[in-house]
Amino acid sequence: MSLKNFEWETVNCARCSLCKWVDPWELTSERFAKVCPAVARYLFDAYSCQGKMDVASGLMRGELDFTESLLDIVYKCNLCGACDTMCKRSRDLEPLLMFKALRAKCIEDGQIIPEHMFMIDSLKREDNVFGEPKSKRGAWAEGLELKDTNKEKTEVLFHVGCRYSYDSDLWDTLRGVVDILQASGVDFGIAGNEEACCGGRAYELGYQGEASNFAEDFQGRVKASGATTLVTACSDCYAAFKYTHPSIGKELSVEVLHIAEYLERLLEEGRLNLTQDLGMKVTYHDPCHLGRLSEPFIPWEGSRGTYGMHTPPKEFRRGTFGCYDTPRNVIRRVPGVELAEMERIREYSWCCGSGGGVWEAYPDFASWTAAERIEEALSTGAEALVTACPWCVRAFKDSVGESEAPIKVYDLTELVRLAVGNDKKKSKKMV
Amino acid sequence: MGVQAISLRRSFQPGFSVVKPTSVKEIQQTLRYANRHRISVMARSSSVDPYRYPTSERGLILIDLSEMRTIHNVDTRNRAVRFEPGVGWAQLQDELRKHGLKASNPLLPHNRKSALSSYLEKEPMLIPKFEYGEPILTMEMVLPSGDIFRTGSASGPASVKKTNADLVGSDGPGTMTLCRLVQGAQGTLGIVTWINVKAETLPTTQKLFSIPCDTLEEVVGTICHIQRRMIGDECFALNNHNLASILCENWQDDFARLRKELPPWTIILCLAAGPRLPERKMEYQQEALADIVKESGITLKEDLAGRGSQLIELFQGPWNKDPYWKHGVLGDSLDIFFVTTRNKVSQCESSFHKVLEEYGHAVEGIGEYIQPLEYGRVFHMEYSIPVRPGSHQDGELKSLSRKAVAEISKQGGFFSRPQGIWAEEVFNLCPSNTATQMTLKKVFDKNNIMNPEEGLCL
Amino acid sequence: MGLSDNALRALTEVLGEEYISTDPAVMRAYSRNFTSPLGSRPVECVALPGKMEDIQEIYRLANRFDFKVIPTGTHLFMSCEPLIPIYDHLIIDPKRMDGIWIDEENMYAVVEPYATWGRLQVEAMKHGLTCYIPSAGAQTSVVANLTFQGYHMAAHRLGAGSRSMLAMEWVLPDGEIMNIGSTSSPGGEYFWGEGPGPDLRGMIKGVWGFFGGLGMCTKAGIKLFPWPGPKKWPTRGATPDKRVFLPEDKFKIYAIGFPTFDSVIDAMYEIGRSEIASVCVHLQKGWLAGELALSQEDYFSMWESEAYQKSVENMLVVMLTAYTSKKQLEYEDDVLRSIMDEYGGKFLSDEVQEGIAQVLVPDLMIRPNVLFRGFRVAGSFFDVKGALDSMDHGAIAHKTTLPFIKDFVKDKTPPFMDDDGGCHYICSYDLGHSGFFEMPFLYEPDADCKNIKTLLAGLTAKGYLHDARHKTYPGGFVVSVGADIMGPFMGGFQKIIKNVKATFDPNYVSNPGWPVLMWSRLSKDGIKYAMNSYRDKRKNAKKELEKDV
Repeated sequence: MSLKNFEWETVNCARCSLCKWVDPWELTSERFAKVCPAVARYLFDAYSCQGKMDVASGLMRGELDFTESLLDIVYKCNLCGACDTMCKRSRDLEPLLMFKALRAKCIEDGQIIPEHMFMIDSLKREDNVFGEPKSKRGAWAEGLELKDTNKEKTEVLFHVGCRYSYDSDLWDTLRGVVDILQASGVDFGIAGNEEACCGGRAYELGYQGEASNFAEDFQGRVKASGATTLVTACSDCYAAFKYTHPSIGKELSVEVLHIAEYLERLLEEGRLNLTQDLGMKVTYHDPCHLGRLSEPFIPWEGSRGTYGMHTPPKEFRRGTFGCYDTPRNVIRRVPGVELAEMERIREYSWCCGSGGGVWEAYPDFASWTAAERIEEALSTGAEALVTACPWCVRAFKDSVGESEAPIKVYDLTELVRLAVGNDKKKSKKMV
Repeated sequence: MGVQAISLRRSFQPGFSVVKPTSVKEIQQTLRYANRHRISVMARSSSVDPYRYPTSERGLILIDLSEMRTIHNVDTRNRAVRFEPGVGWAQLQDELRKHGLKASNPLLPHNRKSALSSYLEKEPMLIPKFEYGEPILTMEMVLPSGDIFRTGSASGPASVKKTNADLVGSDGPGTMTLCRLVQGAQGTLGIVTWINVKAETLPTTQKLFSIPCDTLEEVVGTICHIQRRMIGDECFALNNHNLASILCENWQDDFARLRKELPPWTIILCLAAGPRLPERKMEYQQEALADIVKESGITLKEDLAGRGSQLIELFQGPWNKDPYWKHGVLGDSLDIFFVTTRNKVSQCESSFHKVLEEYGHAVEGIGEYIQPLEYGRVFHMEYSIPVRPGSHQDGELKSLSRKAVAEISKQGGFFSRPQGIWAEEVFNLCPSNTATQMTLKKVFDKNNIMNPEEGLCL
Repeated sequence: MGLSDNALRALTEVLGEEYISTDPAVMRAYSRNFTSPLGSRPVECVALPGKMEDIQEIYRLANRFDFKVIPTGTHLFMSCEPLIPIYDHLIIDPKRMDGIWIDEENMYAVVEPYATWGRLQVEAMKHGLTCYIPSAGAQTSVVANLTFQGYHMAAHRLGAGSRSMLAMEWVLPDGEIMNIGSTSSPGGEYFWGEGPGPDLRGMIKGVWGFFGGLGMCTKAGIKLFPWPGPKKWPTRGATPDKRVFLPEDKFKIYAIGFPTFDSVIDAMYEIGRSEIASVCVHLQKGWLAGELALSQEDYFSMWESEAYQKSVENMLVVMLTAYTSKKQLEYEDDVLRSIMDEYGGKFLSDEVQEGIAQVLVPDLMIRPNVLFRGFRVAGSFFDVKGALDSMDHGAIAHKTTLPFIKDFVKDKTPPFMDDDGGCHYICSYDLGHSGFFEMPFLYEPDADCKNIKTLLAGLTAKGYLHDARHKTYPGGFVVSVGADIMGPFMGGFQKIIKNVKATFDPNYVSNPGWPVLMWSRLSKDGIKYAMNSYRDKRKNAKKELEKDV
């Protein structure tokens, strides 16, 4: 949708400032009351949801020009959706959609951040956001002899994603996922070097056309693989498949699951047994893209009428129905693990700082955001921070490395892998 | 108008004149006259006021408001009463009682004390349970210019007779609340000609309890317990000197005997109930009190020094005997009072006792009174030093009182209501606030005619 | 136009580059509030002071370099926008000053200007204490809210919001410090608001506050009250249907219907006289739908249903709180029922009870989420009346104002909404001694905000005449031009306020145009604006006052 479609939003934003805060009904302390990293870091209201509404309004009315400062305001934002969730607590507005439209407008008008340009060029050339060779995308799986979905059909297509594919620090985690799937007798395959980016990040940066190309390409690859289920361990990709692709008319015709959901299923079916007692206290970080941003797309076409009411009535995605319980259920199944919750959880989760192109363009801001989350994790007394997204893992590992904070960082699958132990004996084979 | 004031018109000799107006118009005329001739003006509504010593270098008109004794209206619906400056506590409570109401009153005010003055001076009230703590709703005043001003919802736009407002909205008009400013201003910002004050439902059942205590810590701890449970009406504590002063039959042997026999401190608590299901209300309050007794190990008595709980009524009106209960020992008293928080009460007391000893006063000879305010959030502490009449100007007493102010302030006591010979010390300690007040006074009183001189705040 | 280079340089020296901005995109975000959707006045600079001394310096520089300063809190309301056309103004955004300190033993807190209600209450509740949050919402600034309005719906037992303010540290427009109350003593803490001598809180706030026209509060003591409820706010469910389940052995929340509007008011008085309850509010019909609706469409579908309309007729909301004991709660419950019997009150349906207890009371009266969700219905709301006087006066105001509003909106629907006074309410204050009443109505802001603003300004002016005709108290609305129109009939209060303003802000630097117009200091544009609003109104008000209605 174009920015013009959101004029009602900008006029009717009441400047109530709820977008800056955790829902007052969910507050647990004054220390962890903020929900928007951008305004918490940069302080000027312009960086908040309400501020971006004003900037959008200014652009639409020709009262503001594109400047470095304006782009700063637009792009120093993780698009984490916390403000969107908060706004929708009491209003029927679409702030996040408006931010995406705003970015698209920036791109349309040639207002490009160099770091983002790099990402898009990389996508075009190498099908990934890191500028790494496409030919190395499958390097993590060398020696594992995994089914190649370019050559064979498979029941489950395991989508790796750019972060896992190219961040060699995280390959052990990825291989751990493979161990788990194999131990559970899952018939799965990977696309290896032929796998391409989901396009989610491109869409967030405002390159909606590029994103659409990747989405379409992905549709084809999934179909060709014969898979009935697509599983991914990357929350960003998960949100792209559940929401972004359908929203641009590129819905997949297979069941889409995050690895957390698939693990829960395997545990419930008895195909996965966790036997090793890990004896640790952990806390769980809800990745934005697994949580509030992964609520499925709800198609709607209509217009606003009197008092801005939608015709036909519109059902809003309010962040409520993200994937929150599943990862927790899995953690609770790990022997010897005690889960201590942070204060800002579920749809009020504080972003890790990576999303929306921030990690690439504003590493200081990303690092600050992650550090704030680490502090919150430490406040629970947990020995480890567990999450379910490689972008979050990277952000937290970097932050802990920098600050030497006394806390470990795990992906959820790492916990499960440790709990599986060394017994790789397969349990009931999947029919 | 009084004869003396008439004579003032015929001569421009500065001097001391008393005017006894019976109407607002006369007050207006007096103030306009004073402005024209730059003569100081002081208003007084009580015929006893130990804190005022009328002197002025440029002449003084004392406006004695004691003749303005009308109770304009008892509003039973909104539980409020509107009355003039000359109305005393006895008159006020008697009238309210006819309507099933009572006014919150301070501790045993003098029977010639103006009720309006008590409210304007923000004297602490005996009932801390009304959290809002500000009994004055609206007021009418004559500004130093001679113009009439009514505060809050009494301001208009219609006249008091025609308005649909019930004169019970205290804020405003506009973006200032003069009603608040005037309280504590000691007549420096204008002359109040009536106030509309909250009146409370007269209980149908009352029961007085007393709790003997050995130390101030025990007093404060027990009171906090009681207040946090939100029970009781009148709740305050007196030391043996003060209680003996109130209860004694004579000032010779009975006072001395009582002072010796009474415990160091006594908390006086009145449980009250009504108008609906009073027995049930008494029951739950008494149960809560019993819990407190159990938890804190205090002794609860259903009388006051063996005198029966009919003494409740004693505390619900003015002092009706002569001499005034504070004046029985030597004929007068110097009162020093301040507010502080629970955790600072003991250290404020210690520092005051040290000052007393330094000046050769026996601690046992001083009256002490503790009043919880706003559910015990804060405590009013008041010390009464028996002195001879006319001795307030004594150098030594001045020095004592100023030292007391300085030392207690250091311990966390706050002198919110500066009075008499120690007022100046308080204002000196608070320069930024004082500077603002002086600037503000100029806004209201361009010619500085209202209470400009000694013994008064600004 | 803008702040001079010298001024900016000096400000940067005081604050640091990171905490000052003149960028248009940054300014844009400060140029409006909910009463003025598209912002009609340019902001020239935003400053983020970190401490009181920074604010002092800002004001000193304002006087030196002749620029204007508008102090804000969380920047929700119209005081954040200069009323008259002015230039060269700087907004103070106190985001860096958000400290909260709680003194549990002495039941008060000390807060800085960006400390929000929600943050304060969540900490207070851990100590068995609470603050009662005005309906502007838990996300608003405590200090800004209380120094501006601070009216809240739980004032029946625990007093008006502005009475929650204790001692204050205040920077005056000349940069000097004014200490109010106990903090004026050396080393004094913030536990007491009066004195020494006059209560200066009376200078900085009336029905409304000084709109930032008298400098800025940089720290304040705030009363806390006993809270017998749980330490953690007991929320269940998820957006859009969250509910709060307060323990029933500590709280009883009722929605009671009475046969007539007048009998509601009578019952409210009797509840006050009987000294029971912690909340006692009459709410008109729109409130429950506004609170319970899961979406905008849901609201209208509820609102338009006859069954719903009947279900909330003549509704009184009462909350009883077990401050003392279970027996006290039972006692108050029985007293309430006896009052209901006497005045014909009946408990409304189970559905309404649940909605009131689980959503409305928690959301409006204890921990509000932004302005009763009034924005959801049509986009915004406007107040025609908001005043503190008696509950009877509130009833008269409702009866006389409703036809007035209906007449105004009748041929302008949309963007205005004729909700039949659905958002009106009358709240008991101080155990029924007085009441606060407000008569908002809803409207949809439009892109061309000038049209609506002009209409609403005209309505406000008509409101004065309405008050004059019906002899009702205009409450907070007599500000700016309103003060000049109505002031002469209200003791000339506007002159006092102007004198105070002129005395304490001689260079007219602190939010000029609020709360009163200093005509001699206005620019040509300012005079033009003001005259348009003022012309003939005072004469007409006088005529209305003389009528007997």
